[in-house]
Amino acid sequence: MRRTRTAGVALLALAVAGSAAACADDDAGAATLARLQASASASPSLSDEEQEKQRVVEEAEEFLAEFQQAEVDAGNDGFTGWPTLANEYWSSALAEGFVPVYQEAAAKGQYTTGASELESSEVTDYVAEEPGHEQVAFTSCLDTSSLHLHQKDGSEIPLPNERERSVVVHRLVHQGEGNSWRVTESTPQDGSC
Amino acid sequence: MLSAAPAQRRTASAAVLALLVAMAVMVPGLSAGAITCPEGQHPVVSGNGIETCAKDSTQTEPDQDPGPGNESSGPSAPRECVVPGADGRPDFVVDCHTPDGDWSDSRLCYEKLVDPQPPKSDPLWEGHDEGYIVTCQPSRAWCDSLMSGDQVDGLEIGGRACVQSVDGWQENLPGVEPADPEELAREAFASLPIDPIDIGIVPEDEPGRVGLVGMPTWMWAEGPSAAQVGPQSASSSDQGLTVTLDARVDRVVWDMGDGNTETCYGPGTPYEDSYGKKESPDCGYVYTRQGEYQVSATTYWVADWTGGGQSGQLTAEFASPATTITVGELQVLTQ
Repeated sequence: MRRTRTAGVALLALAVAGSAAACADDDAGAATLARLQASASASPSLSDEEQEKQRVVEEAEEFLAEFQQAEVDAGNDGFTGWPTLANEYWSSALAEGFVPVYQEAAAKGQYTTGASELESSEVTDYVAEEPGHEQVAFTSCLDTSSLHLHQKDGSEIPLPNERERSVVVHRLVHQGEGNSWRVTESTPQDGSC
Repeated sequence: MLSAAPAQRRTASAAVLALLVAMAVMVPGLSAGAITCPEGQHPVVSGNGIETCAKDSTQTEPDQDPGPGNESSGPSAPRECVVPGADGRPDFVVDCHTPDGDWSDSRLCYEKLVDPQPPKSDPLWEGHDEGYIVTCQPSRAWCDSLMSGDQVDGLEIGGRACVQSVDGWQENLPGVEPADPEELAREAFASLPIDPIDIGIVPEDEPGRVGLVGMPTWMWAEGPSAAQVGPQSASSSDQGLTVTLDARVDRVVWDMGDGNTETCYGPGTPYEDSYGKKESPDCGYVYTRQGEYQVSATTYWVADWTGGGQSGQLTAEFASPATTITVGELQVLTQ
């Protein structure tokens, strides 16, 4: 599976923690979202707890970017790559919802061209009650302006609305020491960004 | 964006989605509210435009009323994955998620989708059109704990045979245990609007109202609604399995406040003045001593369910707030 990051991923890393999921067009500098958020306080040095949070958030952020790319790849590959998403990214509840739809799209030969991009992202929840089982929620701006859907014969499926940017909440849960993350929530929100 | 409903969804929204799919094959729509999900589910969206519904978290808030049939449920405890002990061995705790997949409590192995899924012509499908080809991988940690030559029920389980994975067909996705009919029945029972009865009693709980020792006391459910005395029906579905449930009041147990209880198999008969000194035909009591009594009623519901080739019965009880009545003796009152 390809792991190449898109420009959107780079923008994600550069996004400033500002208003919820505001679409970032700014050049935010060469700092990751996690670092920016962790250094928002006036404290000149981070406590151990803050450093750990920064590490976890950075890891989750990287996983979210991989997940986003895997989703784009799956669509571009005719939705046949759903086992990868189910094995490596989706929680069982998300897989239950998505897999039948992916299977149907794959069976009909449908596919995507282009890519959606996570333009900006903000950490909106962080739970670390148990080491190794942290949860991080990101509220993101998803830009779908360059994503196109096609039937098997190449004809494009029109979009029902003109919204090209939407707010999506992703929640990532770490699966324990030595394991990876899972996406347990990928929920569209009202309004646009 | 693509929008479609998984086959097992059960409400009107599924029909709406099916219609949309039929009209446009795939209906783009990323905005929240583009699809309506059944109760217990919410919209989810993927980065390639697919929008569908997924189950909500099953965690229950600690102070939420769990409803009938769910009295013992509470906040979800962290899942523990184990290989049950056998032949005197203790349970062996394993990680619930590893690179080998998600632990299956029913198959006792890590399950992972074969990627890519083989074509339907592959014998692994065993002729099925639906379902998944899954690798079942025993816990390597558990296998490592075994000695070569270890046996359970006469079968050698240690050594290389232990870690060998098997690919095969199964109905459910890895990490998704098969739907449990009894659990669905509990969900259906919990979804019913059930209220405790409003106590009707003579003598009434009012100033100046005094019953008499040796005279009949009447008890009944005041103005009973279907939510108080039934019958009610409900159904619940998951993964193509539907359980239907019929619930009714089995009995009302009246605590008469004098140490005795009276069990009534019906809502009782409201007292009318024209009945005079008659006894209640179906729910009455006679006090033998004067006093003030706290009378309470507990309604016991039973629910018969069927589904998935199984059937069973669930029960629940609902207590009504107590009422206070006064019972006196005739000679005292006439003095």
